Amino acid sequence: MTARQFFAPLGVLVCLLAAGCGSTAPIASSQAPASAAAASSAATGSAAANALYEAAKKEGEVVVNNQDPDRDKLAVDTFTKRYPGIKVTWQVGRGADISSKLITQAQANMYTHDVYASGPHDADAMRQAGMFAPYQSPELSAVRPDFLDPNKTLMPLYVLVYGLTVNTNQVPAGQEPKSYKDLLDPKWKGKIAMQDPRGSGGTMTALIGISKESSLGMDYLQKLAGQDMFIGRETLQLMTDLIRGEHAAMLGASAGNLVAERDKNPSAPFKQIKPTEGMVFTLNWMGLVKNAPHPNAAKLWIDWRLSQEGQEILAKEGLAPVRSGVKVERDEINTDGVKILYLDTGQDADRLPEYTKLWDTTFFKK
Amino acid sequence: MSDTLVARAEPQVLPWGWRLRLNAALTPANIAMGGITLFVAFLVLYPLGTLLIGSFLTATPGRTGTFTLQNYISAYTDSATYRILLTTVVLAGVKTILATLLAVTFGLIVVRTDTPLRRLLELLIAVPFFVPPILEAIGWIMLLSPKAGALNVAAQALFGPGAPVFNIYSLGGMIWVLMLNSTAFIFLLVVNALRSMDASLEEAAFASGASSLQVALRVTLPLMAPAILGAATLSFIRALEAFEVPVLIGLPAKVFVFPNRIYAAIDYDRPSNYGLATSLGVSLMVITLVLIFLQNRIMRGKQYTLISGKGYQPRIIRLGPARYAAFALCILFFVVTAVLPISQLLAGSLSRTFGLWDPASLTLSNYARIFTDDQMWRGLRNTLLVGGVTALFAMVLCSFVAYVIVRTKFAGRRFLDLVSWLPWTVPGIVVGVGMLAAYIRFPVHVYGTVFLLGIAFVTGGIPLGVRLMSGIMMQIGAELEESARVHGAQWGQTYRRVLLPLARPALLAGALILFVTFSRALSSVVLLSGPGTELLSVVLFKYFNAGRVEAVCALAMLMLVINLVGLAIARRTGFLSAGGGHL
Repeated sequence: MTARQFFAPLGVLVCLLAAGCGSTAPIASSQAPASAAAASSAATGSAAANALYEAAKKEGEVVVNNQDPDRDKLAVDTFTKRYPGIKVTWQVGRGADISSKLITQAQANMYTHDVYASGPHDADAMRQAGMFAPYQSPELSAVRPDFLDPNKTLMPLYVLVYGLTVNTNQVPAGQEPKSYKDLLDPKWKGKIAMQDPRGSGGTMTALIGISKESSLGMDYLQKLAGQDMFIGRETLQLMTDLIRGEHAAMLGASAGNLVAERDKNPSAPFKQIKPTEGMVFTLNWMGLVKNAPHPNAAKLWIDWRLSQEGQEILAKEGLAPVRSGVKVERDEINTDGVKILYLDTGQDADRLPEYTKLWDTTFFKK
Repeated sequence: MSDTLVARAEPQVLPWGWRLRLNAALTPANIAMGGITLFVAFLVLYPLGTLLIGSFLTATPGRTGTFTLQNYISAYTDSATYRILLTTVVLAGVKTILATLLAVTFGLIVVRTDTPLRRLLELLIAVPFFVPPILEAIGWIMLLSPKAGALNVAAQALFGPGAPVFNIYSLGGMIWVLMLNSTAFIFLLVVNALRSMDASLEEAAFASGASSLQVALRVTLPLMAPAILGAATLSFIRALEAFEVPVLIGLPAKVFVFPNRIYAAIDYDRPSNYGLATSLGVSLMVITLVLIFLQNRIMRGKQYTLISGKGYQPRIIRLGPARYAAFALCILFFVVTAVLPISQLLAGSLSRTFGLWDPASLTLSNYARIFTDDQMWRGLRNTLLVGGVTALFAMVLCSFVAYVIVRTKFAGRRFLDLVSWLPWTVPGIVVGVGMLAAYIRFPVHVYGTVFLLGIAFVTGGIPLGVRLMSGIMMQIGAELEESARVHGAQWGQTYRRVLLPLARPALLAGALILFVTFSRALSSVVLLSGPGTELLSVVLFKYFNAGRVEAVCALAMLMLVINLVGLAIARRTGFLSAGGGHL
């Protein structure tokens, strides 16, 4: 019998197993690329998916953006193995720069980008500029319902989780702050660092959440402002300074930042604290760009990113998954049963200038 | 017949008199100069104009929007804007004056005295210029942050807990870092000019009884005024919009300067408010115009000829035993401005976590990461090619521009001079979007290609290139050109065989400086390049944004080595020494 005759039923069996238990479908060996395609398309569950792959293969490429394409290397390698013939091309840059470029290009009727991913504030700017096609992946049925886009334009990709971070050399075990409230203790004066909350970003979101929380509110923030905090804009700068002992505690590092630092250096002296009031969740979104040059490859990429396999790989990279039932190894990004202080899906995007003025008055005016 | 002769002798007002005048004006020289002026004006005013128009519209540049004055209202009805601008002007002024004093002192030491190992010192003093400003700032934070800064920790260890702590997060800290970087920059720009000195002028002063100091202050330095003033003005303007120190050091120190405001419009607002940033940038243009005006007044009517037909050799001032002190001073400067911050970057490149120096767990993984990154190799190749070629092209263009401005009576030369300053008055983080919006609909397809990067670089290099070449062009005596012409040389031959060899050191030094500036340009590159046309700065940016600052350090070390090797080779092969002098 031919190789195809031998491997095809095996592939079908594997797919049934995969569909049945919802775990990662094993990637078929490279000796049988045809059945790899069959296995993968069956993992998403239908002949339509197979047709999508064939159409995507004809396009041959998908253009996506990321700030850290190196971290997503595992994702790219896995996707390319599963869907041979489709090259993943990274556009490097911050969400804001990419969106500027894409919006300007669109005005000149030029479309070079397929899938745009960013934090909520940049994604909202793109949405308001009408830059997305209204694609909603079938994989969204497995995503936590509170993460879905009510406008049905965008899709959540992963969650950025924010809490507190402490330097374990400066803060011995047992003396860590357990809550945001604990930071008001005089012993923390001059020892806390915070990312500049004005404009946009993770700390903007965290402070919005704190201001809305009944046990904290603006009263808390005004007292926190009296703690003589070090305020910087670049999270990288703050993290580096925290780790080398310049600060004892910090607001504004995401769990993803912490996982990346831990991966670089297992013995670096820092630790995540999950405050009792709850963690701040910021959704990172992705969307199919209007008039994308490779629409089928784009949909394939999006669907795969939201699949069990795609989300598990995100989890390995230190980003909290949006799909339910994905195994998460790193405690920092485990969102199961975690109390949510505030979930930012971009709902406050229009009020950011107002909040910026508020933080300016609270933290920067003497 | 005699009637006709008499008739011709009388003045005639022809009905088409203007055509005669036009005909007289359209000499090949004027056409060429007009062509250069139009070319440069286009390069500069097209993207700038796009940005300015965009600042009056509600949308991002390139998008259609409705007319609005909101950006200008927001910028200029807020009293904070003026307060911050004033603070910034004072800060920029202080650091520029200090940096210029240091740069000129070192320049004189290295070029005009008998200090030992001067050629080496010249290289060492310029080293800080080859470190990207953002890393320079980070290096100093590593050294002088109040609690964990390496120097502060060392001071505590040596002198006990009562030792003074130098806090980088202060106005003094900002001036310190800005000044050190500027000194290397101004030094590089003026050192060649200081070399070109006709000894006979100084000898005349000595013969009249002047002391060394008097000669230096009243003969030498005034003659260097064009080069020094040009460099100082460029350095001053940069301080009004360069954001690295204000964001990394000024913000935590709660010392807010103008670049913070521009940066906020881009980084804090979503979507980025380029209109507001441009409207703020208009202040920089106004300030620059004032400075140009002042400069021209100071230099008006004076002669700066230093290179004449008699051959020139700068007089070496013998310092005696003081030359060892001068040497020590230069070495001290090098250690403080280059060795200290670079040591932090080197340490970071070998560490697992930047800032955690642990000799037991040093690693080469950061270097491995950058060397196994295909994008890095592509970026390096593209940077060397695109940066190298455009730097040379830009300098040749600037030499023509400087010639027209300084050595002709062309009617458009003042306009050309003004236009040549403008690219530096646009805040760096806005330049990229101006280029993007301007060239995306250009009839010739340049968008997305390497050409557009080249255009962006050449445009951005004009202010520096023209200043550098103007300085040298002012020093070359007119009689050198005149004698060539008297002997029948065409303009092109004169340029190639008389002016260019004399200007070559400045031209090539300028090309190197431009190359270094291009290789770190970031915002324009990120917006204008795509996969395949990335430059090295994009790779640096990628690592930085991903939190891999250790890889950033490794890449910075690589770039530093490449730049220094390039500089050393250029000097050894004599490219940087003049063709006609005796140096």
